[in-house]
Amino acid sequence: MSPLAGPTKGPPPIRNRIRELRFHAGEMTQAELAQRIGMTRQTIVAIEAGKYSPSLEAAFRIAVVFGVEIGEVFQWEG
Amino acid sequence: MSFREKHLWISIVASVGVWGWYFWFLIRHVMDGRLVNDHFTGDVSLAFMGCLVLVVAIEAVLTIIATLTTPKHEQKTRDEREIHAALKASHVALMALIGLVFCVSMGAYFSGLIDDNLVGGAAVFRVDGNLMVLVANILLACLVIAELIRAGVTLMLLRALR
Repeated sequence: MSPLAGPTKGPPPIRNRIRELRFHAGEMTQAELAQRIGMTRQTIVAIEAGKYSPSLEAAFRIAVVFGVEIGEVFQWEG
Repeated sequence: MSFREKHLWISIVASVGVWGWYFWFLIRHVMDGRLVNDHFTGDVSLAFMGCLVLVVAIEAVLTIIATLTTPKHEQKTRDEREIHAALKASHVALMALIGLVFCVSMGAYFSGLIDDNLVGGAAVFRVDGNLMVLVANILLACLVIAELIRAGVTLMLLRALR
């Protein structure tokens, strides 16, 4: 299937490395990350589990917290 | 559980408890044949005002408890996932409200036709004050149901996206 095909049911085909990046950032907690980007801890849990795709702005905010490019946090797997 | 989720549960519990009792009280009054009673409007209005005060008081107390048991940062935060869920749920609740109000309108219209206009042969609706109070309460029930749907669907979406 083309990577540009329309949305399908099920979790979004976006992989993320937030758990790994949190570990490298001195075991940053989900609550701490949530506070730094102005979100709830539950939303960070959902993003990490791949159940929720953040907006572009939120994705950039997460990348900025870890000091990496957005592509190093989120990868398209479709 | 986030502050938003706690607040939604508070809203559901307060609404089901208080408005559930109120509509049970109203139905009991109507079933007992008190719709034609002169005190019907007064009794129902008094119960309504009491329930309104009670629901505000319950929500206020439970919200204070929820505030005290939630980290300060999460009290103010309302992020995109919650807004997304709230918007979807509001849409579902609005559709439900439209459907309910439509059903009530049709019900009122046809019951009027059957009661007076067609069967009775008169070309007028005969509506007394107590009946208007009853119709107002049916519309209030539609609002309460729509609000419960909004809160319930928001909670469901927040839990599904976790």
